[in-house]
Amino acid sequence: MKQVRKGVVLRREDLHVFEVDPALMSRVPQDVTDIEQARIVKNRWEYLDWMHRHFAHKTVLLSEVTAAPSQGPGQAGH
Amino acid sequence: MATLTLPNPVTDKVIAELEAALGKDKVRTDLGARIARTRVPAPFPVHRFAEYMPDVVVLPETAEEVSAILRIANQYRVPVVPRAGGTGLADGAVPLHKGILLDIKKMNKIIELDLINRTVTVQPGLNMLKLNEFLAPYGVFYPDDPASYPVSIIGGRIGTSGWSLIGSRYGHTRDLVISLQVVLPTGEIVRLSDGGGAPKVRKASTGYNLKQLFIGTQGTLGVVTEATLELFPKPEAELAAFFGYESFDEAYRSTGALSTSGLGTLAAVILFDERKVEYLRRDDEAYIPLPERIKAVVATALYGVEEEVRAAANRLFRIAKETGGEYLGDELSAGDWASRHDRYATPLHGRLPDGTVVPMSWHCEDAAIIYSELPAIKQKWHEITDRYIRQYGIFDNWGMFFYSNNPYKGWGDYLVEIDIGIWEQALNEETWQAWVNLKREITRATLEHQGSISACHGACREGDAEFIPVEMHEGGFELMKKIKRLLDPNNILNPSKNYLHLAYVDEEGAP
Repeated sequence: MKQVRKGVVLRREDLHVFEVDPALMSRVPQDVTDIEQARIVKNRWEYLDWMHRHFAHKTVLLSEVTAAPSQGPGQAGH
Repeated sequence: MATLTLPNPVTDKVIAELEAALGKDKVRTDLGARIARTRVPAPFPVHRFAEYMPDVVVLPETAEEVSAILRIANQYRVPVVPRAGGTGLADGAVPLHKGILLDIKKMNKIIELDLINRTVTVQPGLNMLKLNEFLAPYGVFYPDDPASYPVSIIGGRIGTSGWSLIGSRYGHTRDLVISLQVVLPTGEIVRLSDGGGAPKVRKASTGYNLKQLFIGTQGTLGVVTEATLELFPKPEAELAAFFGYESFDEAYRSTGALSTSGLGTLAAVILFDERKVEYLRRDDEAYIPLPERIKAVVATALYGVEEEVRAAANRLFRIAKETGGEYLGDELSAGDWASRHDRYATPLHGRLPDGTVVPMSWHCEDAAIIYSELPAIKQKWHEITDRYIRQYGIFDNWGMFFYSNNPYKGWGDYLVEIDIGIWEQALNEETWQAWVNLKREITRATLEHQGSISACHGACREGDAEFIPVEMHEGGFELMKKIKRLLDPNNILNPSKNYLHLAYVDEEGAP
C-alpha cells in the first residue's frame, strides 16, 4: 500500500484506484476484495463510455483538434 | 387575530372513496409505501421522521384519476402532495401536513412522437434517460440534463422549473416544454401553452402565457398530467475541456471570457473554487493527482454538429490559454464530464474535522447570482459554513460550483452552489436548528447581493421559504397569494409550500 498524499493511499498499482487511508475509515470500515474492485473499475469505464454515447454520436477530445496535450498535469507521463 | 386554514386529516371514509375511484391496487396505506415517500435526498430532520409521513399513497395512471383524487381531497379538505422522482433538493415533495401522497410514477407513457414537427408528448412520470433511449433510433434527443438525469422524472422537472447542465446550449426545462395538460386543485383538466391552446406551437401571442405559471410551482397550483416537449437532433459531437488555474481570481476572469465568447455550441461553463478543488483533491479519483499549484478549475462542454464543435474547440482553447488556463488532459475532461450525474447515484461520505470518514448526506444550497457578485458571495458563504462547522462538527464543506445559468447563452447570472455534507445520524433538534440557521444566513447573503434564493431547486424549505416574501417584496408575493387562493380555495395542494400558508391567513391579521 502506497501513501499518495495525506489521507490517500494506492493499494493496487495495476488498477490505479485511490482509496481513503484505512486509518480514517474506523467508523465505516470497508472490505472490498481485489475481484470486486476490478469489477467496479471495469463497470465504471463501461458506464462512462455509455454516457458519452447516450448524449452524442461521437466524443471529440481537445488534443485531437488543438495543440493541447492529451495528458494533464499530474497524470502519468506528463 | 390571524387564523390559518389548514387541511383536515385523512379518514377511513376518504380512503374508501379513493379506493372506489381508483381501485384498491392504486391506493396504498402500508407502512413501506408511506415511509419510502416521506423524504427526499436533501438533509432531513430524521429525528422527526414520523411528522412528515403521508397517511396514504395513491398511484393514478390517467388525468381523470388525478382529477378524481383532487375532487375527493377538496370535498374533505385533505392535503395532496404530488411527488415525481423524489430527487428534489428543496423538499417540494415532502408532505408538511401528511395527507395524500400523489405519486405520478405510473403515468409514464409516451403518447405521441411527431418527427415532422419535432415534438414528443408524454405523461409526466417518465424518466428523461428512458425517453432518450426511446428517441435514439429516430436521431432525436430531449436535452434536459440535470445532475439527477438517470433517476429524476419529467413531472418533477416541470414542478421545480429545473436547470439543465447543458442549458446554455439547449435551454432549461421551462424552455423545453411546449405545452401542458394540468389538473387544477379543484379537479378541472386544462390545456396550457405559450398563449392560446395549440399544443405544438412554441411561440404565440394569443391570450395569457399560462404555461409558464404552472412551471416551477412545486405542485402548489396543479398536477401536470401530460407534456409536449421539444426535440433536437441528437448531437453529432461532444467535447469537454477542463482547465486549471493558479488562483480563483484568474479562473473567475477566464469564466467571464469563456462564457461571453459567443460560441453557439457552448453548452456549459462551470467554475470550481479553491475549496471545491481541495475537496476533490481529497476525495475524488480524477483530481487526487492534480499538483498543488492548481487552485481553481473551469469546465466547459460543447455539443453540436462535428465541424462546428471542432472549430469552437480551437477558439475555446485559445481563450482559456490566454486567460491563464492549463488544460487538464483528455482523460480528466472527458471522464469527469461523463461523471456529472454521479452525486445522485453513489453513496456519500464526508469527513469530521479530524479527517475521519462518516456517512453524510449531501446538501446542495443553490442561488442565482449575477457575475459581478460571485467573488463576494463565495467569501460570505464559506465564512458562514465554516463557522457552523467549527461550532457543531457534523458538517463538511465540499466547496462551491458556479454554473452558467441562462438558456442559449453563457453569460449573465450563475447558478451558485455550495455543497455541504451533513452527518444525519448525529442530528438532534439543536443541530437541526443550527442547520436551518446556517441556511438562513446563506439566504440573507444572497439577497444582500441582488441574488435570487434558488436557481433551480426551489425555495420551499425552512431556511429559504420564509425569505420568499422578502425577495418578492414589490408586490410579487401578494400576487402569488391571490393566485393560490383563486386556484386552490381550500388549500389542499401541497399546503404551506413556498410560504403560501400566508395566502390563507385572514387579511386583518396577515403579517
